[in-house]
Amino acid sequence: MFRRRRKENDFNAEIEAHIQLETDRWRDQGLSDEDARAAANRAFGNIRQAQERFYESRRWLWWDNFWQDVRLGLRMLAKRPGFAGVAVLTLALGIGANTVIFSAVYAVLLKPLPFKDSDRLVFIRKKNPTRGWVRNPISPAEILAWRNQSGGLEDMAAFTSSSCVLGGAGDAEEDPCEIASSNLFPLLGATAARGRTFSADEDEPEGPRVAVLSYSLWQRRFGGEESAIGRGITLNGASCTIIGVMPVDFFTPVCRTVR
Amino acid sequence: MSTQEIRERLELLQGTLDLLILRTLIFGPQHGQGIARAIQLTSEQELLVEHGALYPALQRLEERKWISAKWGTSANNRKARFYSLTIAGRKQLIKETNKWKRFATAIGRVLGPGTEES
Repeated sequence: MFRRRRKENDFNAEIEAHIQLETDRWRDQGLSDEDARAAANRAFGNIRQAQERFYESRRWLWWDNFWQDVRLGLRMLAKRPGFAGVAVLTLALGIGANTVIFSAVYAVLLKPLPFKDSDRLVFIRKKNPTRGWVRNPISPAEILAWRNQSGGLEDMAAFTSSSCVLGGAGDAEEDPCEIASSNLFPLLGATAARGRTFSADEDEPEGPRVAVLSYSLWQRRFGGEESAIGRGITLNGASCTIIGVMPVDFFTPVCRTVR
Repeated sequence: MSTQEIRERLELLQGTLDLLILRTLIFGPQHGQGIARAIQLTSEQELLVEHGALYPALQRLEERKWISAKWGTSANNRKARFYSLTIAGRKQLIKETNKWKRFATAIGRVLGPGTEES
């Protein structure tokens, strides 16, 4: 199917070789180098014209061959519908798989995070090389120290993901949850859809115990009722007050849903 | 060959160059210059082949797969592109030769005897 097409410089080399051979011949018959070359050129005729004709014919041939190939291709496909079907299916699957992979790569790697100033967000993690841990717990004191002493960052918020047993107001259930510092929401540029997010005094060890619901949990467990705000629930047995609900599209950098 | 032309050389008829090239290649692979020379020699200098005109014809024949080409070395050690007759080319030569002979005979009959140049 793939014909190797002749290059122009190959053709020019052939003409040059021709002139050489013809020059040699005239020289053998006793002509001087110069006269031999002139005679060879005379016998050849117009070199430029030959090159142009070569170029022209090649261009037409390209179209000719191209249409021939297209027609042959279509005929072959029509003749063997099974093969054509498999080919089409292969292409379809290939294109489909590529689209899926690209979409995933885009969503995971390329798409900017849906947070405020997402190009300036960094994620800090602690390692423990002596034990070979890629994640080491960070104490609240450490976070406070980093936050107060690091000059390069505008603000630093802390959060940790785990799962909680949610009780009170209905049956107990286990849900993914995150414990976060109050400045996480403003840092990400997120505001509550109902109620409010945490305030600074709620960060204090003896401060009030409060919770912000994800939109889906609010819908599922509280039927989207406004009265959910202010109600008490228990998280791992400790009582909490619901103070707000996040928008439907909100998620934290680690967990897709905040419960 | 003298540069003085004794008689005017014959211009090639349309389509005859292909036939002449195929015929020349029956003796084995030859490069463009060799083909041009051979046509002039075997026609006893009667036919005028501008060497440059040979190449579009060679290219056409190559595309039709009647001849194939390969770079090689000439008798005096120069690089040259050698053409050789393919099996399809051989068949084409037989076909065209027969056609040409019938054509020449027919024209000869129409023109009749006595009009020939001595």
